[in-house]
Amino acid sequence: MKGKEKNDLERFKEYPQQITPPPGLDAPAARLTEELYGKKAAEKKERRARLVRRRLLPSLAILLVLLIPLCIGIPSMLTLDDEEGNYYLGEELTIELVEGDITAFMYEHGVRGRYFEEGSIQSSVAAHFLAKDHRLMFLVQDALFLSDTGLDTVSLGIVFTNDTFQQFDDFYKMTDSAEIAGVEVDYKTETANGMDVVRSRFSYEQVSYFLEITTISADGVLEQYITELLS
Amino acid sequence: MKTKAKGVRAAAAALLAVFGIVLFLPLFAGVSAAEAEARYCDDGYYDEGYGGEGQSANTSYTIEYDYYVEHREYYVSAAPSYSSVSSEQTNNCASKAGANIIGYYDRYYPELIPDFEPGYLYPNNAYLYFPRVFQEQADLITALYYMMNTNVTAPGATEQDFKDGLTEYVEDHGYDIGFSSFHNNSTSVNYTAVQQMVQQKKVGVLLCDKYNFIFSINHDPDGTNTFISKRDYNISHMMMVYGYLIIDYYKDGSCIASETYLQVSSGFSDGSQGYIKMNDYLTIDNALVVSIS
Repeated sequence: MKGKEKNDLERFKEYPQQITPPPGLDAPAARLTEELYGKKAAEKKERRARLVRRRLLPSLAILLVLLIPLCIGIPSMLTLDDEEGNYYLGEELTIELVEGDITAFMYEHGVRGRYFEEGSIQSSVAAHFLAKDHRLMFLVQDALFLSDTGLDTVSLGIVFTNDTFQQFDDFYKMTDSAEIAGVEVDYKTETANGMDVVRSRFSYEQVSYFLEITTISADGVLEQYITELLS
Repeated sequence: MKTKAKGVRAAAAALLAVFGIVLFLPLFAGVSAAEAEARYCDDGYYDEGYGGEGQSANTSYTIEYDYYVEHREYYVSAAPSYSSVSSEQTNNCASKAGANIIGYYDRYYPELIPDFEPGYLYPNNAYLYFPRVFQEQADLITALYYMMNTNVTAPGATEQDFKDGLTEYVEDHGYDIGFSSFHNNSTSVNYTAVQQMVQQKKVGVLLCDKYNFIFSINHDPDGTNTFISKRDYNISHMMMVYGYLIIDYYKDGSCIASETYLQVSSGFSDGSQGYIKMNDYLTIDNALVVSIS
């Protein structure tokens, strides 16, 4: 078919030579044919190509130089926003008490994290799921420990995502920081009901931890519990 | 003949009408009564993991001042605030309010939750209620959930369901229970009654058609402003009440704001403890002191 089309085109180009145009149209027809297919057309084509080479190609090159970084950068920025996560209210989550082995539960949900496996008098772990898709977002371990000064109440949030949660609103605006067990820890100490309440926030192995300790004396408790947790 | 036939038809119609009224009236009356009685934590869902907390709007605000004065005469430093135990127990604010009340009184009446200590008395005489770490607390919440007929005829539970379920539990464990009012109007309570409640080491329950909840009152360390973390909720809810706090804010020598906050255990799934601000986004249906002896 391609060969046939080429032949047809050639015959069309030679058409003016094959017929006698109507009176009055022969000159315009000849001029048009010359413009489209003649020497002038070839010269015009060459001039156009030179224009492209001299002006448009450099402009295109500049445009590409500008566009490529944007094409890389914009998706990256969008990705970063996603990596910061969403903020979830308590009402957007459902809670299940975890019964049985905590490590096995985490494994079943494809997550890993540290928790207080021993040393407590009593302990319970609650799993917090996103209500809309039942995705495991974090665990909260509540435990009681007997210390030299009395009973310590410990609450440990173990967050597996980059999201933030209303539950842990009190763990921001920290006043102090320290390095404990090789981890940078932000914390603050307040007094309530005659007790010291120490709240801390840190990350370890891509998991975020929110640790609250209620104790009769805050001296050394943060080091004690974080070291125990990460050992 | 025509007159007689008309009369027979009229009589038949009248008889049918009476029959219909007698047969169907109780049904309509029942439905109307049920619709009239408020159900708490009814967000319309029996299951699907909804806790009955409804929808909320962030209404946090900051107060700027020269100084503030807190009135803590009736501020209670410790009370239980249990969280949810199962995503299958939805619309369950009534059972959690009841569990918080039982947990509170178990300190004084130990057979309410047998072989269980609800908290710990520290050497400095501070008493701390435990978070939900024991199986007994989870069992208590579950028991009350069923005793209060939660989600049986409709989502949530009514005030009567709450009272009946709590009464059944308390009497089963050998104690007496009574209810008295500290209600004033839709946006405030009878503070004299609350003061007596605190002095007598009792707690109460607040039943709201809509409400606000303050998660925290954060006084800035430099002492010139306070950030109040608050949300407004658009469904019925009930919570245990155990004290109250008044804060007066002063600027240029004048009191620019006096805010009263009831201390409550929220009954939210995460067991938050905080406040209800009086004279704000709030419709109080009833406020009851719960007395157990």
